[in-house]
Amino acid sequence: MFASFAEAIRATTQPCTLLLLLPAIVMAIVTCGRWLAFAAICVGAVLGGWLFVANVVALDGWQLQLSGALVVIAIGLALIAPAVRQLNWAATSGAQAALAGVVTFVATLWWRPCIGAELGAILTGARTSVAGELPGITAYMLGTMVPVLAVVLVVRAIDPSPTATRPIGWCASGVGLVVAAAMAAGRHDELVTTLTRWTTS
Amino acid sequence: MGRSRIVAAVGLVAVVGVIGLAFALDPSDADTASTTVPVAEAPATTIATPDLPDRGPRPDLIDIDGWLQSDVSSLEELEGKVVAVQFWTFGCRNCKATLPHMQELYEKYADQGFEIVGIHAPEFEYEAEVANIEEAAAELGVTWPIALDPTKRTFHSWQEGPTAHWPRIYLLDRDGHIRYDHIGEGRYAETDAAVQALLAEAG
Repeated sequence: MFASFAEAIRATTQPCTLLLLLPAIVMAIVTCGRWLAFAAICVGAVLGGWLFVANVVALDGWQLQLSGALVVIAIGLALIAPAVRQLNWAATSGAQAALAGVVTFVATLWWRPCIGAELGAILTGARTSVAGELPGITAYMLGTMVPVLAVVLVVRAIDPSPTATRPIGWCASGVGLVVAAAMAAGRHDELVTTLTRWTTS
Repeated sequence: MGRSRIVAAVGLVAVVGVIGLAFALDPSDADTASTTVPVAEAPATTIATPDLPDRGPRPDLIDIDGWLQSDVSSLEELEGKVVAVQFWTFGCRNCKATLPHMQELYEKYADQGFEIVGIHAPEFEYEAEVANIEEAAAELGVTWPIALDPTKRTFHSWQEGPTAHWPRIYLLDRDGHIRYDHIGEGRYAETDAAVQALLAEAG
């Protein structure tokens, strides 16, 4: 289990994990590093990982574009949620967390992972027993979320003032919106190629 | 400094420690080192032969757009040999990590009736350029036949379900039946044992 967790951590330094990590990190920042949102992000990643291992869903063509549009809307809603926070803080915070989970879940459907020894063993094993590989993929997906946890902790350690929180949230969501808009526009391949070249140049 | 900020800072240090531990435990260094052991000096394998159930005849190759480094242009021409069919693309780091091990297998068993066919299924446009594939093959030490699958129809038709993976290796027996299948890096000794068993089975 730890080997899967550790391999996932190492994979987060590779371009292939960026499409999963970027939206999750964006949502962690937009939600001001709240634990509830981080928990929802982890749940979204794990559920997406289970689907990946079960090999029952693969988005392509218009489905990718639709999912991109969905993420644009979700990030937008999460961004404007604080505006109504005074009306009902708890409900708004819960809604933001749910949106963070949804965005991360969709991002796992965009994800084309680097398949190292551990993930390879999980995928190979899943051909005969998906259920038997769920603990392994759960550990793996939680490993991919370690950088998101680091971001959450940085946000909480800095604890920016409310006036600083807003521009940080806008900047982060801008990155997320660019990624999601590229998916919605059907530019998945160009986006991944660009991210790959940025991170490997 | 508030208590929650201190807790977050301590947590951050712990996370950095976990990340460091994950990298310290990276087994790829050991894997790489093992590939540098000359074949003649490699210790005899103690890995048990894996189960090699007959998974039926291999699927056909579909829309292959040519072969590189090859005297053959179809899998039919390789019947009678044990064949490793590997799906790969040169931009995939995990595929690259497997190549020294594939080369080791090739050097070890090629004269015993073993062949490798690398089916190159590009993920991105630049990986579909034949000149780039040739250059990468030379750089990466790929000396075995490469079948070009630019549309990825073979890549998807061989792999069950909607998601297909790189790297993935299938071992075919001399009758062209799939007997072994592994996704991703790793299990090199097991793959070696499977090749040995398939060669011995038919020999």
